[in-house]
This record gives sequence, C-alpha cells and structure tokens, in this order.
Amino acid sequence: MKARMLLTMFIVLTVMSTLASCAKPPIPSPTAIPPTKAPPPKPITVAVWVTDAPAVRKAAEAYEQQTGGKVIVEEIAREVIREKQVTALTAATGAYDVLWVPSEWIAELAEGGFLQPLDELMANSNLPQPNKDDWASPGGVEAYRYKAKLYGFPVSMDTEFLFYRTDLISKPPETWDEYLEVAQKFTKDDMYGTTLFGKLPESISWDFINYFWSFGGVLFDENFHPHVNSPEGVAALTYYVDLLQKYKVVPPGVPTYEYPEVLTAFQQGKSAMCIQWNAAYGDFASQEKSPLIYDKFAVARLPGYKMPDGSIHRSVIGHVWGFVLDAHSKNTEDAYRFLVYLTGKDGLKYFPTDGASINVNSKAVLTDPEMVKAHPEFPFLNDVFADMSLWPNATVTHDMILALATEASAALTGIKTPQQAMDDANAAIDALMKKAGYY
Amino acid sequence: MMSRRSWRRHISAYQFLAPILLVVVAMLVYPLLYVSRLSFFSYSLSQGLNFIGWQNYIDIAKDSVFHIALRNTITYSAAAISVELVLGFVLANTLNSEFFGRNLVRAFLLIPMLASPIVSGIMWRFMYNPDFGIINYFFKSLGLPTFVWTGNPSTALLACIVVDIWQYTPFVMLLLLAGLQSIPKEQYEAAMIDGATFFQQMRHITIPWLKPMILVVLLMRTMDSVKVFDQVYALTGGGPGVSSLTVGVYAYFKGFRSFSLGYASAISWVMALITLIISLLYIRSIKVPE
Repeated sequence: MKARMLLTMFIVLTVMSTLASCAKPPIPSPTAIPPTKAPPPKPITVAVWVTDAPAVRKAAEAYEQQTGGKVIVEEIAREVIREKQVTALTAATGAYDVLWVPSEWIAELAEGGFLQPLDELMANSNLPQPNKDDWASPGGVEAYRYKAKLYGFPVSMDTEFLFYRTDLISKPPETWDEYLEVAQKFTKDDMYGTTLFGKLPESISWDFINYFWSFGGVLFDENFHPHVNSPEGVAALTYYVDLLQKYKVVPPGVPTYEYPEVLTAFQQGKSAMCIQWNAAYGDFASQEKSPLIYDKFAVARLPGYKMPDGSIHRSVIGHVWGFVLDAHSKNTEDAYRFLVYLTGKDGLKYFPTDGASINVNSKAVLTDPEMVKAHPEFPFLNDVFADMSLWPNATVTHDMILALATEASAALTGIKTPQQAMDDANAAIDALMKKAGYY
Repeated sequence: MMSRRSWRRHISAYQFLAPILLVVVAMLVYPLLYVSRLSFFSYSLSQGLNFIGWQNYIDIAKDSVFHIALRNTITYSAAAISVELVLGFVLANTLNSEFFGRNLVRAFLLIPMLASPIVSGIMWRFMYNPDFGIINYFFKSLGLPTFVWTGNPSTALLACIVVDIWQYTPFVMLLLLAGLQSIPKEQYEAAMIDGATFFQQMRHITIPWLKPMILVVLLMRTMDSVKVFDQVYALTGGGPGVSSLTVGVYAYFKGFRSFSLGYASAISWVMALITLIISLLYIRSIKVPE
C-alpha cells in the first residue's frame, strides 16, 4: 500500500513538474506592469572567431552606449568556426542572431533556408540601412547574394601577395619559371627560396588554387561539370609538387604549414619569398614582431603563367568574410540593426586595429589618414584585386575545397602522382555535383 | 509466480532506479535510436533530409576512403594496444616489487593519463614540429636524420600511435598492477618451494590470474582506440592525404564539415558493430578461470 502511494506520488510529481516547466510564465496583473516604461531590448548574440572578436566587442560596446541595446559576443576558435556555427544553424533554435560566415558557404546555407534574406529588411524604412555609397567592395557584397537574394554584408575582402626580401631580390619574379629560378638561387644553408601552405583540411586548397587558375586550370566546364584534371590543372599540381619533391626549394615541413608557419618562416628569415595573405603585412612591417625583416621586404603581384603570346596570366584567390542573420533568430529586427552598424563605417573601423580583417568594406575607414599611414599596402591591394577570383558560388563549394585539398595533399607528399590526384579530385567533385542535383 | 511481497519489492526498486533510468534513456538510448534512424536518410545542408534506405551502408561498402580509414584504424588499434599491453605489463611488474621511491615513480608514470587527449595531441604536435620541435632537435643533436613526422605519409600514423602509447600505457599499467596485487602471495611461495623459475611462475600463476584484468584492458582500450579522434585530429587531421585518417576522424569530417549527417551516422554504426564483434571475439577467446 505504502509502495503504491509512493509510486503514485512520484508519477504525479514528475507529471506536475514537467507540465510546470512547459507552462507559460504567469501573466502579471495589469497593476503590476509599469505604466509607461518600454521593455528593455532583447540581447543580440553574435558569433565570431577569436581573431576578430576584440573588434566586434569594441563595436558592440559602442553600439550599446549609443542605443542602450545589449550585445553578447561569443568567441569561437578558428578551427571549429564552421562546425559550431552550422550546427547552431541546423538546430534552428536561433542560438546566434548574427553569424560570421565566409561567402563560399552562402549558397548551401541559403538553399537550406538557414539564413535570413536581407532584402525585405533593407526595404523597411523604419530600420537603419547600410550606406551603399561607402561600400569599398561592391563585389564583396555581391558574394553574399544567392538566387537574387542578399544574405549578408561583408566585413573585409582579403587576398594574397608575393612577399619578398628586398635585400636579396632586386626584382620580384613575374612568371612561375622566374619564381622557381629565384627560389633555387636562395635555397642554401638554413634558408629556403619560398614556402607553401600544405596543411589539411583546407589551407592547401586555398594555396594551390592560385597556381591552378594561373596555369589555365578551370574548376568546371561550360556545362558545370568538373574539369580539374585538364592538362593545365595537372601541370599546375606538378609544378606545385615539384617545389617540394624535385627542387626542394621549400622547407620539408610544408605539408604541415598553414598561415602561422608561413608567417614565421618569413619573419625568421628562413624563406626569401612567400605567398601569404595581405593580413600578414602588418606583422611583417612591425619591428617588434619581425625584427629581422621588417625593413627588408616588399610586396608584388603573384607570378603568372607565361602565355605563348608573351603575356602573363595571373590569378589570385580572394576571401570574403562577413556577417549574416540566422533565419530562426527570435530578434531579427534588432539583429539587423546591429548588423548594419557592425558592417558600416562605425563598426568596421575597429577591425583593422583590433581584429585580423584589414581591407574592410568602407571607403571612409580605408581613406582615414591614420589607416593610410598604418597600411601603406592599401594602394597596392587595389592592383592585386584585378587578378582576383573567388570560389564558385555553389552548394558544394565547401566540400569541393576539402576534396581538392585531400588530393593535392596526397600529391604533395608523394602518395599519388599529380595526374592520379587530379583524376581522383575530379571524380570526387563529380560525385558531389551529382549528389547535389546539379545534373 | 512472483509473490505479492516480492512484486512490491521490485516496484520499490524500480522507483529508486527511475530517475537514473530516465537519464540513461534520454542520454544513451534516445541518441542511439536517433542515430540509427538518421543512418537511413541522406542529409545535406542544401537538400535536407531524404529517406534512402540502406544506401548509406551500400556507399560505405564501396567508399575507398572509408576502407583506408578502416585499415588505418585497425593498424592503429593493433599497434597501440599490443605495445601498451607489453609496456604496461613490464611497468606493473616493476612497480609491484618493493624499491625506494616506488610511490613517486608510480605517480610520475600516471601524469600522461591526466592530460586530455586533445591537449596531448596539440602538445605532441609542437614536439613533432619539423622546424622547432624537440624531437627533431634531439635527432639532430645525436647526428640522426630528422623527419617531418606528421607531414610524411610513412610516419604520420606512427606519430599518432606513439602519442596513444604515451597516453594510455599508464592506464594499462594501473589496471594490471591492481590485478597483480590481488594475486595471493602464497601461490608464489608454494611455486618457489617447488623450484619454479621466474618464467614458470609467470606462465602458471601471473598470467592466468591476470586474465580477467587483461580482458578488461583489451575491451576498454579496443573501444577507445577504434573510435580514436582527438589525438589524430590534433596531430595530423587525418593527413597528409588520407594516410592517417581513422574511422572516427572520417565520421567527424562527414558529420561536422560536410554535414552529411546520415552518412556519418551510418559510419558510426559500422564502427560500433566492429567494436562489438572484436569485443565478443575477445570474450570468447580469453577463457577466464572460475
């Protein structure tokens, strides 16, 4: 009898506590509501990776002071930025209102309905709107457009330079043949001619694509079928692999190199040249961070492939990072208000000084005398943009980058020949395209 | 037939167990069933969830990358567990005898176990660094050739195995030491009176008495090493190419990089089945004395 009573009580208590947790909070009586005070704005949660988090935090503080709103900045490690944010988006809980997303993810996220289209919000006259005249990279904004809808505003558009030592090299190489010659000349003692980004899961793709496009390789043919194993694509990978395997003009550890290792090799005088992201310019130019080379380097456009008519075909990858809104945000309008602030001149001014995004999408910030003085590379950046391409805007872009990286890495370390690697990369991308329903 | 009294006793037992059973169902049974269901669907960010029956399992059977990952996982597990068992046994035997500073040595040997796998992976990545890593520094100091440990297809998996051995040998040692200390001393005294040599004592007393503990070690280490993720992810990311890719890392890439959640779920189930089969083989082949 006692046991039955206990069981009944347990069930009743469990059911009651479950129901209680599901119930709406009690509605206060009308007398309990303050008569005129407006409810405080809901906090906005912004996800961003650690390297740009200090800039976002400063912008958030300024925004809070200006508007009285509350912004929570969530820092995410660079290595898991995709895993964490996309998991949050797929959970559809609106955990982050504003997310830090590169342009090459837009197609798959927009197609899946995870992102909030901005067009309607941009047409709402009650909301603050971006100053389009101040946009320094309208092309960067277009990178956030998918199927005629805009899904985000860019923070910065970055690309790569050829950094070289001016005390060793009087004239930077113009073609890949010259690049190899210079690299061979300075590969001696403890120094190597140049470096590579050979690390998985992605870095090697972002590095190799410069060679691939410049040699005349194309990712897709006119019917959108992959064509990476063309003679040009294979020649590009052969050249890339030979830098390590045949000519040994790069450090033997390059299969483990990415941004920090390439940065350190040039800073420590271990490489005479390097192809590196423009964001590294500030570190190289800092006497404190690079005492050996801060006054002995210059930048040039990446070498190119010499065409039969004597012209040089150059190509360099561009990378656009910006902010988007979660389609399941419970606070869309406030999130949009902050998005506009953060990606406008008032928010963007913090990125070059406190973050890692330098070439921000604001003419006002880029032409600020302090900025111009701190970044003498800006005028040159505009020259490099003429050679710049972005990854294609497809739902399989990210997987394609991973597939290309795996195969390029296999070739770089001698597991596969360049031909085998490009054939396998082509087959992998073909399977991805078929699965995604492109044909 | 259960008497009324015994039935009541059962009811009250279940009442006390109910909260933890609910937790187990929520945290273990539900995810297992959900993953099982998901493995029959194709999922991608752009296309959502579509039922495809056994297609994920058929694709896994044909997936050459999965085959490489499986081969790497088997190599990894077999190499790591065998070395850990031998080293752990030697260390446990050493620590089972009395000597000055034994407790200090025992505490010192347990240090690797205290680091989380991802931390030890990152730490060893620095030690393996081809340019400023301490391992190449010692090789160079001794006049030996240096290697790009984690960036060379012939040494990448080995580099991961070494880290596993470093981290888990203390665990094996600890279990075997507990086993050794439970063997009655009289057995050895009787054997010594009968004139048994060290190896005869080992063969006829130590090993048979340790069998249950060896089985526990094999089961736990096999389960851990088949699903290994942290160290490999931190050290090599499965590369170069796919030369050190393990099934756990491959499932992670498929699940959380490509967001092919159905395929990743199917890989997880295959991994679970492999672990189950190996565990059953251990249990059947190692006869534990009554």
